[in-house]
Amino acid sequence: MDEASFGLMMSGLRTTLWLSVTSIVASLILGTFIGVLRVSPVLLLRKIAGYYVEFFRNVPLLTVLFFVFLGLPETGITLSIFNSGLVGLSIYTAAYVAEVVRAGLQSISHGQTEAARSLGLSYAQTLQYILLPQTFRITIPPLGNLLIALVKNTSIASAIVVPEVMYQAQVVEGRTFNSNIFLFAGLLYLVITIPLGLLANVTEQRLRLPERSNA
Amino acid sequence: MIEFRKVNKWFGSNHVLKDINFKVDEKEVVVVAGPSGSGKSTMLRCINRLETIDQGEVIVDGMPVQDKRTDINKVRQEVGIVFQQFNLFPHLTALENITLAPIKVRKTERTEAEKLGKALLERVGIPEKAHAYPSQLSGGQQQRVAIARGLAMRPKVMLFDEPTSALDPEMIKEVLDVMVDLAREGMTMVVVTHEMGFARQVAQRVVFMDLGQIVEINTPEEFFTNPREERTRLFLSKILKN
Amino acid sequence: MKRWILILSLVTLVFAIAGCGPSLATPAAQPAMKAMAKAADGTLLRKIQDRGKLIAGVKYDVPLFGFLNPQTNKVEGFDVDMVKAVAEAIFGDPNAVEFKEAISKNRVPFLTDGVVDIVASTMTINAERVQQIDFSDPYYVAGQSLLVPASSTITSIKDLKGKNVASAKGSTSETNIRQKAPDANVVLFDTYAEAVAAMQAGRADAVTTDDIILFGFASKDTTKLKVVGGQFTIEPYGLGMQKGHQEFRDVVNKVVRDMKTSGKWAAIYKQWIPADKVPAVPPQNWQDVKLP
Repeated sequence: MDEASFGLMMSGLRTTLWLSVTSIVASLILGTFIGVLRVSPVLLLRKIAGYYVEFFRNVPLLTVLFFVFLGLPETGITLSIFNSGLVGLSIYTAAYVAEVVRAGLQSISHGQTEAARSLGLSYAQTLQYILLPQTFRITIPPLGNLLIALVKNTSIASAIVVPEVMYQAQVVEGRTFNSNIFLFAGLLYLVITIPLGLLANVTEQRLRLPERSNA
Repeated sequence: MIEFRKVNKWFGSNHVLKDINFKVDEKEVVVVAGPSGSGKSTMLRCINRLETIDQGEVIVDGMPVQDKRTDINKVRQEVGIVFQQFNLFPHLTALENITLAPIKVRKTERTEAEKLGKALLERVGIPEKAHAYPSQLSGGQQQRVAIARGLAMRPKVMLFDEPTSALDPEMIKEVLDVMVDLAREGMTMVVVTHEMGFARQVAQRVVFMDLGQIVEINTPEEFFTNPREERTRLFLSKILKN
Repeated sequence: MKRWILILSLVTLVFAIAGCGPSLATPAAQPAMKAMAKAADGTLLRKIQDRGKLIAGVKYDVPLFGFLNPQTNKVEGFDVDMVKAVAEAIFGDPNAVEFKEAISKNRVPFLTDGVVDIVASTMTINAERVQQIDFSDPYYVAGQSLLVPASSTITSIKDLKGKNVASAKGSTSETNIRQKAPDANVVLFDTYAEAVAAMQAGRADAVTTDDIILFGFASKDTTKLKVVGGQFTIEPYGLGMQKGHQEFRDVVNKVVRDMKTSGKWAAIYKQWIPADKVPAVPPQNWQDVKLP
């Protein structure tokens, strides 16, 4: 690979990394929020969150990205190219995160909520200190899978010209006609996804509660 | 301290509480007995609005519990509750279970809350378990932590919803001992239980419920030796046989 | 009933795209001119004459040049008109042509394998291709240009400093624009249609590629889009033929030359290309085509 191509691929890697990190944070926050609304005591909020999840789970990511990139400007909201990718990926992934969070919340015994509320904790405090920490522990494996999928999905942002790894690989391929560049691009994704998977495993281990050891 | 005024509740077409009227005075210990499905747990849970009612009023420390305008979290800070299934928070240590509400609700300093938490663990007899997680404790130890957790908010009333029913027989006594101590210290208590020994030992009154109604309210002495109602007699003959 | 019409039209479309629909639909139009004399036995031209029709490879997806019009189900455009002129010269009938879809990848093999007699598919004459096939005289000079919104102040590549210029990944247009306007910020899409959509959404200030593609977009809505900046590269297009058929090539070249002198070339240009003015006719030798 010539120096210019390598430089392009490295700049693509930086963009992919940053896009991944920001999208992970944004989709976890948004997804948790929507997942909480999914089990909210207020019917309207449950419905809105339900529609959100159903919509974004059932449309292709590419259409979401193109809508943010080309459709939103018509309504007067023009995000930068990078932010278009960030927003599209995050609102899409958040739907999946929300479902994981909802399932996690629903798996926690109702007695937990009753105990917390009986102590005078508000609904929000109960979520914050009791339900979400437990949910987070049990949802690390599925969330890890989602976030790995998210990193791989950043490649689709190449279609809206976010200059990430896949975009740069296509540019290099177009210039050099060397299709092996895609193999190299794949390796660059592994550089992010494999440590991310390990991180999920380590986090799960560290947060694991002690096993029952009848004292 | 607690007053039920003509309280009625339905689950669908099932009339689970029928015209409940009764009072619990300050420092009084009331045991609620009755066959399963009699509505005794439901009644207890109305006191801190874990259950809503359809008619009537429940008043706790002067606050109408079921009134939408009442800040229910205020009521709940005054009313501790201990559940059959303990419901400890599995991701928190024993001490953290106890200090969470004082820190987050009462806004007590962490160091002070921990001092209080350790004192409470001492009181329930397991100071060495402060940093154990619930999964590392026996059932009896868990229930004692749950009692300490309820006491940490310095409530005016403690509710017990069949606190020993999920325990192995050898652990029942360690929990009852804690409750007896608590009663002797003057805590206002409402206890749903089948432990008639506990009722005899510390209760001022026994409430007998059946089919959603209060059948009889009596002193323990009278209740066990000379019940007024036929249904009470029938119930006692059944459980005292076991 | 409606469903059947839909299915039928879909089937027709599929056949059309496969290359056997539109040409067969119009076999017998009245000859307007006299056919030319039979050529010598064994020549390609004689083979064509005996067959009674010309087989031509054209593009089906390039508006203004070779485009299968979904309304008429016929191919039309500048390239198509060139082929028809050749057919008219041979048979006296411009419609004595069977069209086949020639995409960029298969058009040279089409000629070398003898699948078609002639290819008119926006094909640039260059030294490499001249080794493989024969070309007619240039019949059109394309070149890279700029498509901008009608309201844009951009008039040439000198105005592109710091502007977002959209093109397609892996195209020669990308390489060219980086050389000609190094100060521009080049953004690359998968297709030119996406690049134009992005520009219309305000995502890019200009789209650059060969002007024939840009004219195609501009012709859809001349109130919103315009082609500016002239040509900053040159691509002389020629009609492609199998190597070694002098007699056929002479006929084709005579047609091209006659069109240039008779004014027919200018008429076809005007008919298809939404440019401000008709340019000078292309020179006879492709190597004489120079940047203005």
